Amino acid sequence: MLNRILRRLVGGFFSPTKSVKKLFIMSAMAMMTFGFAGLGAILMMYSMSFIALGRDAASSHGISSRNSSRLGGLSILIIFTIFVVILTYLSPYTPGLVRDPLWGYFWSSVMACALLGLVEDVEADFLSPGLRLGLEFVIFGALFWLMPSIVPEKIGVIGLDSFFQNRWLAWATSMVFCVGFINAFNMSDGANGLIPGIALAAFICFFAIYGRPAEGVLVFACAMFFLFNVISGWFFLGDTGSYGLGAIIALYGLLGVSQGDFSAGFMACLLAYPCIDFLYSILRRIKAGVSPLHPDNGHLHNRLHRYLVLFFKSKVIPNSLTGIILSGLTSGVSLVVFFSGILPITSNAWFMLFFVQLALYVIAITILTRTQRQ
Amino acid sequence: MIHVTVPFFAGLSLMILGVLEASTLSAHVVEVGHDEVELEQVLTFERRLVIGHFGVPISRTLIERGRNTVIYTSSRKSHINAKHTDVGEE
Repeated sequence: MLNRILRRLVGGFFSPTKSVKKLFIMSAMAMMTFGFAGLGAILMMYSMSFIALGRDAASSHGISSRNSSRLGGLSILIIFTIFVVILTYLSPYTPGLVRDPLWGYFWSSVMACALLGLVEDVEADFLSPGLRLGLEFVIFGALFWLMPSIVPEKIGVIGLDSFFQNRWLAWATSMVFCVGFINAFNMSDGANGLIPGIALAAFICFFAIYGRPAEGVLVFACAMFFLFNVISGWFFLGDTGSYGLGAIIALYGLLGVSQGDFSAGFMACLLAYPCIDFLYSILRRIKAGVSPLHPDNGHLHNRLHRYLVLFFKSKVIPNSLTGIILSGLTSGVSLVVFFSGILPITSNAWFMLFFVQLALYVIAITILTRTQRQ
Repeated sequence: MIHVTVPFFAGLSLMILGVLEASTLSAHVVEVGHDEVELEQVLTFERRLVIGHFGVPISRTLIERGRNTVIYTSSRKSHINAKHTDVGEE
């Protein structure tokens, strides 16, 4: 059917290849969801996926088996910048924009994290891991110094709340949380649609809560990237995307908890996969006697992919299915609970759902590890 | 080179078209005093085509939530009461 349509459309020029089919499907879905703007985003990502800069060899990945571009995060950054510039300077109407100098610090920190990732995407290992970690601490430390209102005074967790009573401890804990979170986000970015799906769910929630242009643009950019990443597998989020989106989500989370807009449990549920996977991987590596930050292929997404690959001939389908299953069962479930209104977002009962997700993670990884050892 | 630059600038133009259409739509709704019935009427097939099915609820939310914080810079701003934003008003 698709072959017939494509032959009619482009048959006179060339026969439709697999890539043309994928581009057609992505364009059609983008048109249906976000119209010409969506189609524009897909075309832009398509063009950027050809750029030789930031290209990764398939052998450097745990899951992907093709050479793909790591400039996905840069494409999201470009889309975001275009929308902000047009809405601010070119359009006759800018809705919901709050001009507060403190937001300047917020977005500058996000941009600094994204640029740190971009350096890594363009030239791998240009910055040593230690220097990168140090710069992340400097960025977040400076932001919390300049914008203390972002640091919560309590998060509703017995034991941790005493840390937040002391200003210095609260500053240090928030800094460690943000640096840890963006690295967790980066570490979990191992399957098509996994991190983009989690980020998309988070931004849909933020847009539903705050309804500002920035969140709307991020929903659009992440939705288009998710579509492109899942269908084609030509484009990865890269460090620019995982650091940039991770920084936005971590800072929105802190600010929301600090203002009492939602509970820490809600954020924990929404971001369950990267948080649980990061902590579990560190514990697993310490137990195995290797460095906690040593990369390996023992994550749940690696194991699930290894299981799914047995059922499909395609290289992209098991990869994308891994990302969709994991992001859907963690952040997707939280999104459904959020919109159903079963749990108020300010409730700490969300921690119960988080512990259910934690238990499911441990069960799934234990079963898959045992099965694959046999 | 051409297979990178042509789709890139075509994509850029389409995105700009989408944002400007959403912005013009919002400006029109502000002009008629945030009338939601009016919003439904101006959401023609062509406009839906430009901003898409998911773009419509996003534009609607931005219009509804941003009514107190709107920055309206068109020459037609004399019709608008809420044309300036207050810091932190939202």
